[in-house]
Amino acid sequence: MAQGALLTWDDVARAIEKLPDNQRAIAAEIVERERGRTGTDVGISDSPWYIERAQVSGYIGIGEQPVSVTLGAAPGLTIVTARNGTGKSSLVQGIRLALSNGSAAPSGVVEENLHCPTRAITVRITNGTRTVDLVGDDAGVRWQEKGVGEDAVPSAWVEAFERYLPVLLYSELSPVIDKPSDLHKFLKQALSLGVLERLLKASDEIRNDGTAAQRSLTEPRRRMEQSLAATGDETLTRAVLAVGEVPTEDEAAHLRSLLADLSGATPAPPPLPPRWTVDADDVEAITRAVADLDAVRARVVSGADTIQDVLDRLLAASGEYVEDLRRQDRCPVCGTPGTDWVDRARAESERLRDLLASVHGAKAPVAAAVERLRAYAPPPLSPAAAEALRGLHEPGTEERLEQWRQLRAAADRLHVDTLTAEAVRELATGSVDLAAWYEGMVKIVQDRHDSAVAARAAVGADIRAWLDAVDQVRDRIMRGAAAEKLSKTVDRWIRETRDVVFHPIRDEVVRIWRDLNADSDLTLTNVGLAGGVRQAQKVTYELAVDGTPVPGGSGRAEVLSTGQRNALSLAAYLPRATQPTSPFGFLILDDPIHAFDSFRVTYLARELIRLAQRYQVIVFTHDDRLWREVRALDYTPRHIRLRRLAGQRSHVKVESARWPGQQLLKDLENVLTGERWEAIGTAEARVTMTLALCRQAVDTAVTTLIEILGRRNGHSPEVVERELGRARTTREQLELLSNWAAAAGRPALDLRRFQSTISALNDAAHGKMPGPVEQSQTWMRTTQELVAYLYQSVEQP
Amino acid sequence: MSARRRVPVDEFAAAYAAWPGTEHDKTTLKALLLRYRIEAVAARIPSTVVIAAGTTRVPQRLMLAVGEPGLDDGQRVRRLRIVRAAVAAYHAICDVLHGRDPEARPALARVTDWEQAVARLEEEFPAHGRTP
Repeated sequence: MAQGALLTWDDVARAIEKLPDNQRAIAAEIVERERGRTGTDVGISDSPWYIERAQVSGYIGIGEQPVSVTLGAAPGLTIVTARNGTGKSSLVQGIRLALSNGSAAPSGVVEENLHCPTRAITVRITNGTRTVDLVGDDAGVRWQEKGVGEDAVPSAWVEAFERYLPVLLYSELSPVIDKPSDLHKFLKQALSLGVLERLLKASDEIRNDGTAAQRSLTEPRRRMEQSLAATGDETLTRAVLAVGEVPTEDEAAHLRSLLADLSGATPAPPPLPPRWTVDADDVEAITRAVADLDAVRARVVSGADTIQDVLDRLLAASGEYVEDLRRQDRCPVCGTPGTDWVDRARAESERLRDLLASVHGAKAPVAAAVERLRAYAPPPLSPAAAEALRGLHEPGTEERLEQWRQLRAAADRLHVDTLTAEAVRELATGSVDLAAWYEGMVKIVQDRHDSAVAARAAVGADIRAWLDAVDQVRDRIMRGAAAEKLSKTVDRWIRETRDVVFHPIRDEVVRIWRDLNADSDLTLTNVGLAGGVRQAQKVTYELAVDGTPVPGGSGRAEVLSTGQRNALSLAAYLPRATQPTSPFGFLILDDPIHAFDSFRVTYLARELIRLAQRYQVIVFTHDDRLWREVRALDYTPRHIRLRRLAGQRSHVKVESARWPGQQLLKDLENVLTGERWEAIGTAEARVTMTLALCRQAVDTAVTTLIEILGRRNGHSPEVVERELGRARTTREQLELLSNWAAAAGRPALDLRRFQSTISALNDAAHGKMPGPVEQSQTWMRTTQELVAYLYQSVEQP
Repeated sequence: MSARRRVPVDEFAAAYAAWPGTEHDKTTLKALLLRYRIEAVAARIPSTVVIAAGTTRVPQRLMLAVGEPGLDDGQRVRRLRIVRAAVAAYHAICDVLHGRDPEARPALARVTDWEQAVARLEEEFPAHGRTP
């Protein structure tokens, strides 16, 4: 939701009430702290404040004799006219110094007065119900409120002064005049949302602290994760991953309970069969035994044991038939007598018995060898062990497991009757090869198991260390996270507030520029704001000539004359100083018509009169142009004139200004009083020059009235200027005045009684003594009457 | 003492010097003195150039002096430059003294510039001991 302009801590305090709890808590903490830092606020909210009077001494060009001006403390336009070197800017800067709590303007001048080093400045302000003297001296500025007492200048006042800058010096206009691209300097402070920027800064600091706290967990967490990975404990890993990077206190307690269970358990080793070795000598012995057995077997025909058994049965047989055969010596098989078959059978039986005994004798070592050979084969491999080996993910494992199966099967098939030397060698060779592979695999398994055991022992400590570290910084991280969201919120507030502040200013800048350049084909088409919340702000502007945009870049300013640059500066300044939120009812401008032609003076006069309806506008200027333009617009300003009086004690005199011509006569009268006048040169020269100056007073009065009537008659400044250019002599000017007075409905001027005086003044203006010296007083008196008559005829109803 | 007597410029200069105030305070008076001096020069333009006597139509009289017989091209260019500067100063001074210049009391720097232009004009048209 869009937020209104947040300019004060009170505004912020109201805005943060709508924030979520965690953000609101941090924002409230910052607001409370910053409010305390800005000091006691005596309150300026019951504005607007006006300036009642100001008095300055011992400051820049104003010496011991104070310059005091009474300004009225009410809306309206006051024009303070002072010639160069009178102390006009010193007075303005002194007023500014007090109003700004000692913030000197960037004028670059020496602030001390050479003749009076003791500074004393008093500016009395009032809002109708309260009256305050802002008293400035070398020690600083104090806020002296009637009926209340003395205090420091309220911070709200000082901040408001910086924001709205109700006093503008020429030295602040000139940088923009010199370099229009520095336009943003005028609006920079108006757009610098100090309260929100301090809130953002404080929030950023808390956010950064949270980030630093989080960063401190990186190493403990990295160690914890390494230990966790080494253990391969899936339950613990899942539990750790589930709690995130910054576990809550409950989550941390849960993890600690898991660690308590972990500490009693030791991981079981993988179910692998034992390693085996092959004795090469024994294999050779087995091979030889098998060869011996083969050799013995080669001598025994197949079925010898049966034959021997038959023979033994036959020899042992009894009965009549067998006895007959023995007695008759007849072969029981073929019946052939006389074959001595009993002896031969007995001998054969003995031979066979011996042979069979040798075979049996050769089998016994082979049978033992078969058992040994079986021990040299790989042991049986359980499915779990095979899976454990596969789990190592070593290359060629599947081929080795197949080899293992085949060797094991071959070992299981070993038998003394079928064993061959070849089979022995094959089995032994394969087994040696597999044993070497298995040796490496077992080492890997053991290493990993050892690491797991070690990690299991370390993971508890690492997780506890991580959790301890989290406990120490959890609050900071939580605050940092909340502050990050708060910073985003404040960032948005700043953008919104800047828009709320800037858009009306932008519109006013464009309007005032248009009004101050009504006769120009150069238009200010847009004023924009560049840069982000944390980046330097820059105010940009776009110009167009006859509707054609002026190209960007530094060359853009080249199209602006000095007067137009001055107008641009004022167009940027006035909206800033007159924002509706300003507590100041006054506006002080020092020499705002610098480099202005008559058109722009007229336009500015209109703008100032408009402002004077709501503000106490005080303009310091060095000539009467602005006053004339304001009078031409039928507005009667308060007119104050500062005059520096020469002498041993030079001082500045303040007086309510007369009409320009009358003022010149008054000045002349002040200079030429009494005996001093008598001492000036010859009487003729003295009188002639005096009368010539009287004519200047008459002509000044006439031209002033011509300009005023010209505006009132609807003539443009250029028409007035042109007509004044044509009326070169005093008589021609008087004729023009008379005509325009008639056009304005004034009675015709009757100058007959002044003709001789006018002639005398004209003679004097050309170096001729018009008559007897004794008549000089008469001419001067008549001159005063003439000027008074002109003003009365034209200005008074 | 006769009426409408032209007062010598020297007397004006002396009166200016005795006038109260600093040179900053007396810039209007100095402008008046300079006008007297310009008109004095205009009044003594050789009769070979301007027949009518007096101080009327001062700028025209001065400009006519540029065409004075006997000047070579170089002298004429130089005189033109001097006269132009003096005429410009004269117009500016008249604006002040006739109230057309918003600065009734001109800045000293301006007056100093005018005075230099007038001094060069006086050098160009020396008095030769004559009092206009």
